[in-house]
Amino acid sequence: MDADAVARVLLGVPIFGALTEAERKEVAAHIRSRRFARDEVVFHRDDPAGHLYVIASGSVKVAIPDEQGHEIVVAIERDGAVFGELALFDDAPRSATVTALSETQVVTIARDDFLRVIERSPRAIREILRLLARTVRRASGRIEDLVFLDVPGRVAKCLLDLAAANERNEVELTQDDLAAFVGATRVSVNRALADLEGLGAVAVGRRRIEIRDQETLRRQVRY
Amino acid sequence: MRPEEILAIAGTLGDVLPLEVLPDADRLDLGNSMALRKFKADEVVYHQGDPAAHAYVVVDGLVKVLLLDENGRELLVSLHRRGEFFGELALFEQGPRDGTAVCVVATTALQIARDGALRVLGRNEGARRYMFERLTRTIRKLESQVGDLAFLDVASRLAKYLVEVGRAGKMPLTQDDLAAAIGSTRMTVNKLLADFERRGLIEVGRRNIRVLDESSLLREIRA
Repeated sequence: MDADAVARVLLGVPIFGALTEAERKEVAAHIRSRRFARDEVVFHRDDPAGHLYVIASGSVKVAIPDEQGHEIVVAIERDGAVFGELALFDDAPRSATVTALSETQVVTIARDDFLRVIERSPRAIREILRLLARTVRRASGRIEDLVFLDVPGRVAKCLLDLAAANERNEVELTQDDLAAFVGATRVSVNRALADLEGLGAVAVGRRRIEIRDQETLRRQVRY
Repeated sequence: MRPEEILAIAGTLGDVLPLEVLPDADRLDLGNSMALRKFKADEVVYHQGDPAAHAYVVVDGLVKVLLLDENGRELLVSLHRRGEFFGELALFEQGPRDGTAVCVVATTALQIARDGALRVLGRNEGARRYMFERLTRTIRKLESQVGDLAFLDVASRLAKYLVEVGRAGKMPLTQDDLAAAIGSTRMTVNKLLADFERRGLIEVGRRNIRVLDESSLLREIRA
């Protein structure tokens, strides 16, 4: 990515948008850009951490894996979003695994390079605190979903989120993937999908699900 | 109460709340932005949906934060003991409270106004580091709760919760609280507690559960 493209990406992210142009240039000088293919892992849980990531284009899923190879998706992030931010504030390893959902371009910046610039900008500090607050809400929202939503509700919500991340009414994934996304078994996810298909909300194909009626899908998300 | 008196009370939390990182001027500013509040057992500090302008620090007592759904079901997201913040997202985000804070036992808390806290955070790197780390820890804890809900059965979740909360101190929780904390029902929790008690892992009193055999309780946690 050339310097102009990096500058454009940074400008769209609240933390970096809060910097002066000179400060943003300083950040940009330390940035590296990387590309990930679909299904490629950006980092694994328990990897040593030290970089912040910004999505220039594409989308990723943030998931917590267990030892048996199951996973639960905490968030789906798309261009303009920041991830890996916890690495900036403590020395603990990565808390989640991040995988590209589509061809994805990211820019990364090392903790020290980031903090050196940000520390001088009260507005950027506020944006970081806001970002952390949002992440707290997101995590407690996931807990809420798992406790209060039944499997059909979680499936419906997940399909809506994925469609929004892809910006189209079709998501490419297997029923096993979907089961992992919502923290349920394949059997109960199958049943939920069959019901949603019966309602005309989705059409289920091989390795892809088409969303036919977002409104009906939304109505299945009942707390 | 004068700021000096409030600061003296805040100072008694020195082992858990590092006020000494602040220079005198910042400490005084914070003192002017704080009030001391006393709550009875079961008293509500704030309700979900309330406008939010304060953060709190527990001086003495125990506070639980609940998320409520439309059907009145409760999810206990966190417990806060001496020296711990709650409601601190109000400092960084405009917007209503996303949970309800209730005192489990009679509780004294410092109430900190947003503007004062933000001034001090803006001026002081030590205070910022502290807040960044705290939010980071909260996020990690919530993410691990998401993983537990997705991967652990109810008995495992209860065992894990009892170990974690037991390590932090006394546990004046009702069985409803426990059910709300692990996303289960009172009836299930009641049955599991009786089983743990019969096997000598815990002792169940009124509003008080004591862990007797932590290592056996840990062995109950199976993914």
